[in-house]
Amino acid sequence: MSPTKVKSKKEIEKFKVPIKYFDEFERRLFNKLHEEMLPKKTGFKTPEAYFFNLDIKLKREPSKASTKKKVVPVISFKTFSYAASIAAFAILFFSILKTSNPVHRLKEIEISNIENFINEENIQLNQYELAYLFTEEKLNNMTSDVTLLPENQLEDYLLESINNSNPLLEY
Amino acid sequence: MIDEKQLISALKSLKKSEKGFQILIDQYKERLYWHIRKIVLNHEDTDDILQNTFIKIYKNIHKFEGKSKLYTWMYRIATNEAITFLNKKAKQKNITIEEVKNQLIENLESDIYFEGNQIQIVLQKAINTLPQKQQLVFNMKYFGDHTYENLSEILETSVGGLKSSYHIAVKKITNYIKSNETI
Repeated sequence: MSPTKVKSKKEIEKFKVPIKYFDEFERRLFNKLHEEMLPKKTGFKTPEAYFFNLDIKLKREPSKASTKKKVVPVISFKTFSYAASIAAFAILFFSILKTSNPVHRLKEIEISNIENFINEENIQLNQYELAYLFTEEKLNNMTSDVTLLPENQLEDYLLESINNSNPLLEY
Repeated sequence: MIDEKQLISALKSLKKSEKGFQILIDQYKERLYWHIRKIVLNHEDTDDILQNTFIKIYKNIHKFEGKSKLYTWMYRIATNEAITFLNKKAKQKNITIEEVKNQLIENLESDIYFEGNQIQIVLQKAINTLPQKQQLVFNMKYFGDHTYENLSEILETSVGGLKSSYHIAVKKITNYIKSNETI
């Protein structure tokens, strides 16, 4: 007894298959077969009658399941306030540090601009207030610098630059 | 072509089973495809069922005792897979298997893998009016060119019973087509 013919003429007339379907069938079948051979079970188990007992357990203790539990915050208010204070202090410190760097800034300003600023009388300071801004060490240095100038030049400069000569007379 | 006994022994051997299976697929894929296609009609379903059929063959080859021919055993598996598929579909849709088949026939008109005309669709409708066993006999004899002896082995029915069944089927189909000639 021989197997039947592959396909009769009657079939060819009506039904078609996608191009190369039979050529690719074997590859697809083996892919599926290899997949079929993989283990179907995960291997996980539950204790005997676990789900049955779970039902009973839940029915028996509905009040426990539904009672409102106290919510414990992960971070306490006290810890949070400490952290917030430290963060605020750090921000303030760095912002002051960033904005208050007079040495650096003064270096950036041109001397002519400072002179203009002073000439336009934007600084309203008397000699004592000015003296207060200088440390004793700086003043001594200044004194030593001044002494390096010839006395007659210094006198000429002061007479030309300062209108009020009273303070000079005091010296 | 490899001898059937050699093929069976290769399929049952651990080392040669995959190679033997390749030969089996190569020899029978088209025959089984067309056998299934006549039952479920569309290509996609046929492709799924054909793959399942071969997987079942591969997994159960060690149970094959050689009491029948290998190909008749495979045809039986393919037939069962196809009918099981239709039954499942009917159950899912909560309709009868005949209604499932009617839907499949209706879909043929828009099926890109069907080139038949109205007469061939009417023929499919006529086949669907037959009882399941008669449908199988008619399809396998009319389209598949099986001999009654082959059919007898595959369907486990006597040759006389098959002949009678086939003639009744032809008569019913002819009457159905005559009554629908206006189409």
